[in-house]
Amino acid sequence: MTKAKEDILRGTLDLLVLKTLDTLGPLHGFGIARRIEQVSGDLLYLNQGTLYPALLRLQQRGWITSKWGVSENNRRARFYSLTKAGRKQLAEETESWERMAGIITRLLQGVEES
Amino acid sequence: MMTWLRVLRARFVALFWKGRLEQELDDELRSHLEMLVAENVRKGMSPKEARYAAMRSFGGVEQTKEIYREQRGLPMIETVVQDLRYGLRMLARNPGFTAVAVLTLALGIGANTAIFSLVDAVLLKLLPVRNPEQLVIFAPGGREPSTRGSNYPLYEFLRDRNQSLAGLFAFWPVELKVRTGAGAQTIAGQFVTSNYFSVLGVNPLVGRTLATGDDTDAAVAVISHRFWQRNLGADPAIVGKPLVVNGAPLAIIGVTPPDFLGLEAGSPIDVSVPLTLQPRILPEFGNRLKESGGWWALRIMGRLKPDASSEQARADIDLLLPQWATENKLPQGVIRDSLARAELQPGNKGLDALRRRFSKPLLVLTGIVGLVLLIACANIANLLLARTAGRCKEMAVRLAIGASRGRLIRQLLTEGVLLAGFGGATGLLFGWWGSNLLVAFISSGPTPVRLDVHPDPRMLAFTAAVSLMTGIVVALMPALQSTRIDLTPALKENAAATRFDTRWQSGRMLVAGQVALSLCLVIVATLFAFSLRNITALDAGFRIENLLLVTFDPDGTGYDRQRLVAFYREVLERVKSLPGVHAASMSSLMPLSGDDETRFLNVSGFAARSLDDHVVHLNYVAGAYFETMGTPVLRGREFSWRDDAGAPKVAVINETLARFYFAGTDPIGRVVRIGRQPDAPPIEIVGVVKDTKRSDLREPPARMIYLPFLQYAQPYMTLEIRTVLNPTVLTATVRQGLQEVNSDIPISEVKTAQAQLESGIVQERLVATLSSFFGTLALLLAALGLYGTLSHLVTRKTREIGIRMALGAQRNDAFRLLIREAAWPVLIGVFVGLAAALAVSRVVTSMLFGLTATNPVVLILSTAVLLATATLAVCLPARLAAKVDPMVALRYE
Repeated sequence: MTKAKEDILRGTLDLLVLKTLDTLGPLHGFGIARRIEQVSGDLLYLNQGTLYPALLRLQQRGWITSKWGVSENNRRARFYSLTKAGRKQLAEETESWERMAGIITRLLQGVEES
Repeated sequence: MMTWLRVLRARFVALFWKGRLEQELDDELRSHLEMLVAENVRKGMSPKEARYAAMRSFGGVEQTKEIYREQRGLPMIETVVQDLRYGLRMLARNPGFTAVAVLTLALGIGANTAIFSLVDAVLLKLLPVRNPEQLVIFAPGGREPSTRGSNYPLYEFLRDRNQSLAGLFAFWPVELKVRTGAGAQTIAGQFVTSNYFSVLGVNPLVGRTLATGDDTDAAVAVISHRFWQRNLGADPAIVGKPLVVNGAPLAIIGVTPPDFLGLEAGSPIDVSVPLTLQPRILPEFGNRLKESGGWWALRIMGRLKPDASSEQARADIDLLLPQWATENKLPQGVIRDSLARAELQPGNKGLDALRRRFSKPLLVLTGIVGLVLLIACANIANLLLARTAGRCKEMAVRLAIGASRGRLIRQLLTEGVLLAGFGGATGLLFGWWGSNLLVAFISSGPTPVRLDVHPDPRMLAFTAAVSLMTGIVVALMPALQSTRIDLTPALKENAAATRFDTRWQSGRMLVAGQVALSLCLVIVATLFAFSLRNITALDAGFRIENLLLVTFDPDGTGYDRQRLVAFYREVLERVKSLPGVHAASMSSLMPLSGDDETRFLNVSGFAARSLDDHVVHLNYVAGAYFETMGTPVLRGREFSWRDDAGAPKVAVINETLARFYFAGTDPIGRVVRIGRQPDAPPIEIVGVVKDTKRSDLREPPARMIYLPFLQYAQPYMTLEIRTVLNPTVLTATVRQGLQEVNSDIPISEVKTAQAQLESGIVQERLVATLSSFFGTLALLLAALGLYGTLSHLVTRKTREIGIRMALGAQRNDAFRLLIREAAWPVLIGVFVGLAAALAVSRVVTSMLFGLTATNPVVLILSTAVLLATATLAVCLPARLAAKVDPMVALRYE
C-alpha cells in the first residue's frame, strides 16, 4: 500500500495552525489548509474533519478568535486570527517541539552510531 | 482563568446558541467548499467537474459537522436532554401505565419520605449550635443507670473544679404561665444559668442573650423565634418590652434564632429565664439554688475543651462526685444509689427522651417502608419488563442502525429515572402529609410532641436520592434484558415470542421476591397487631369503658386547700345529679396516667430487709371511688363521706400490699404508720381491694395504699365519672354542669379513660397501625404484580394454548398449565419469606408483648392470608386462559 500523503502527527496540528496564523495574519479555514499543504510540498494531507474541530478547540481555549469577513474573491468567510494568549502558546509549543525534536534526533543518531 | 474552565464555559454557552452556531458552521463549510470549487475552476475544470472534485476532496460534510458538534457543546448533557425528551414522549404515549407506575412509586417513596422526616427530626438532627460534637450531657449515676439530673450546688462545684470542660451550664425545663398583651397562657419554659447561650454558641437574632451579669437576679427573659412570631407579632422593637411570667414582670432582652428550639427534640422551649429568678417565679419550690439533697431535676451539659476527650471528662467528674458528696455529708445510701459515678452522654443531639421512646419503633418502621418500596420497585420492574417486550422491535432497529447497547441501556434507565422522578415528586406530597399525620399520632401520647416537619433541604435530598436509586433499580433489569437481542429474528415479524421465555424467567424471580418480602411484612404486621391486642386485653383492675376523667387547674386561682376540698365536694354533688351519670368520685392519681406518689410505710411487726421494703404507692381518693371505678372490694369496706378530717384515720390497701405485709393474716383492723417517725398518727386498715394499674397495663402489680382525701385535703384531684352510655356523648353535659358550680377554677382537661389508655401505648399503636397498613399495601402490591405478570403470560401463551386445545387439551388443562406456572414462584417466595421473617424477627422480639416472634399461629395465619391473596391473583388470569378459543388463538398471529 502506498501512502501518498502523510497524516498530520497527532498534537502538531495546533502548532501548525498557530504558526500559520502568526506568519500570514488573519486567514479563513480554506486558506489555512492550503497554506499547510503548500508548505509541506503537498506531502501533508489535511482532513477538513480534523481542521475545523481543531479551529474550534483553539478558539475555546482562547488562543485564536474568529470574525466573519469577505475573502479575496468576494466570498463571505470566517477569518481566524491569533490572540495574545495564542502568541504565548505558540512560543511555548515551538520551544517544546524543538526540544522534543532535538531529543528524538539525538536519539536516532545515537542508535545509528552504535 | 484556567484553560479547562474557559473551555467548559465556551462549551456551556454553546448549548444555548445552538441554532446560530449551526448556521455558522454550515456557512463556513459551504464557503470552504465554494473556494475549493473556484480553485478547481481556475485549474481549468468545468463547473460541474470542479464541484464533484471539490466534494471528493473535502470528504464527508456531515461527519465533519458531527465531530465539530461534539467538540462544540457538552455531548453528555445533550444526549441526556435527548433521552429525557424521548422518555417523556414514551411515558405520554402510555398514560395508563405511567399513572399506575407513578402512583405505585409515589406510595413507596412517600412512605419512606414520611418516616425519614421523622427519623431525621427525632434521631439524626444535630443541635443547631456551634460544634455540637463537643457537647456532653452529664448525670450522676449509681447502682442503676440514671435518668436524673443534678442540683445547683453540685453544678457549681463541678463548674468550678473540673479540668476538662471549656464550659458547663445547667438548665431546668418547666411549664410557665406568661401574660402578654394577647392574654395568659401556659408555655414551655426553662430556667438556665447565664452561660447557657454562650457555652452553646447560640447567637441572638434580635437583642442579646443572657450574660454573666444576669446571674445577679436580673428580671430578664430570652424568647424563642416562634414565640416572638406567634405571640408578640414579631415586634421589631421587642427588646425591653415586658413579659409577665408567673406573675413576675420581666423584661425581654432578646430573641433566639428560628432553628434553635431548646435542647430536646419534640419539646421546643419558648421562654428562657435566669435560674436565679426561680425563688421569685416558682416560690412553691422553695429556693432550688440552695437545695443539695432531695432535688435532682437540674440538667447539666458541658462543652469539652478542644483537646479533651469525653473519657477524660468522665474520669475528671468521677473524682469530683465523691468529694462533693462527702463535703455535703450526704447519706451513704444516696451516694451509692445516685452519686457513685458520672454518666456522660454525647450531647450533639440534645436530651434523648424522645429518642429513647421512639428510636426502636422508628427503625423498625424504616425497615418496613424500605421493604414496601422494594416491593413497589419489583412491581414496576415487572411492568417495564412486559412493556419492553413490546418494544423489542424498536430496540432491534435502533441497534441495527448503529446505536450502541450502552446508549440504549442509558435511554431505558433514563425512562426509569423519569418515572421514579414523577413518583418522587408526588411522593414528596404524600410524605409531607404522612409525616404530619405521624407527628399528630405521636403527640396523642402522654406528653405532646411538637416536631417541626416540613419539606426542608434534607427531606428533599433524601427523596431525590431515593427516587434516583428507585429509578435505576426499576429499569436496570428490563434494560439489560431488552437490549440483549439477537437481531435477525428480532427484526422479523414474530419478534416478541422469541425472547419471551427468558423474560418470564426474570418475571418469575421478581414475583418470588415480592411474595417473600410481602410475607415478611405480613408476619411482622400480624406480630405487632397480636402484641397490641395482648396489651389491651390485660386487666386494668377497673372498668375502662364508660369512664370519663376530668382534671382541674387550681394553680394561680388563690384557692386554699380547705376551699378546694369544699369546691370538689360541690363538684361531685353536681356531677352525680347529671343525667347519664352512674357514679362519680375523685383521686389524686389520674388512672393510667403514670402519676405516682410514694411513701415510707411502717407496719408494726413487719421485718423489712431493705429500705425498698418500706416503699408503697399512695393514692388519695374520695368516697365511692372503688364503686365508680368498678374495682372489686375484696374485704372490708371502702371510704365514705363520713371518713373526713374529724373521723379516725383509715386506709384501704390493695391485694399486693396485703400479701406483702400481712401474708396469711387478716389485714382488716391492723394499724400502719406513714413516714419514718415512730410517733406518726396510726392509720387503721378498713378494706382490701383488687390490684389496679397506675400507668401501663403491662406493669407488674405494685403495693398501693389509699387514703381518704377529706382527711388530707389534696389540691390536685382528678374527677372520675362512671357513665351509663358512651362517655364522649356526656363531655359537653359535664362541662356545662361544672360551669354551674359557681367557681373560677378552670377545667384543664376532659377525656375518656379509653383515650388515656391509648395514649399510654402510643408507640405500640403506632407500630401496629403502620405495619398493618404497610403490610396490607405490600400484599396488594404483590397481588397486583402477580396478576399483571400472569395476565401478560396468558396473552403471550395464547397461541401455545390454542395449539394444545386444537390438539385435544381440555380447558382445565390450560387452567392447570397457568396455575403450575404461577405456583412455583409463589411457593419459593413463601419459603424464602418465612426464612427471612424468622431471621429478622429477632429484631422485633423485644418490642412484642405476650408472644414470641416465632409464634406458630402468626406464621400460619400470615402464610394463609398470603396464599389466599395469591390464589385470587392467579385464578383471575388463569380463567382467561381457560376461555381461549383455539380458532381465534391460531388465527391471532
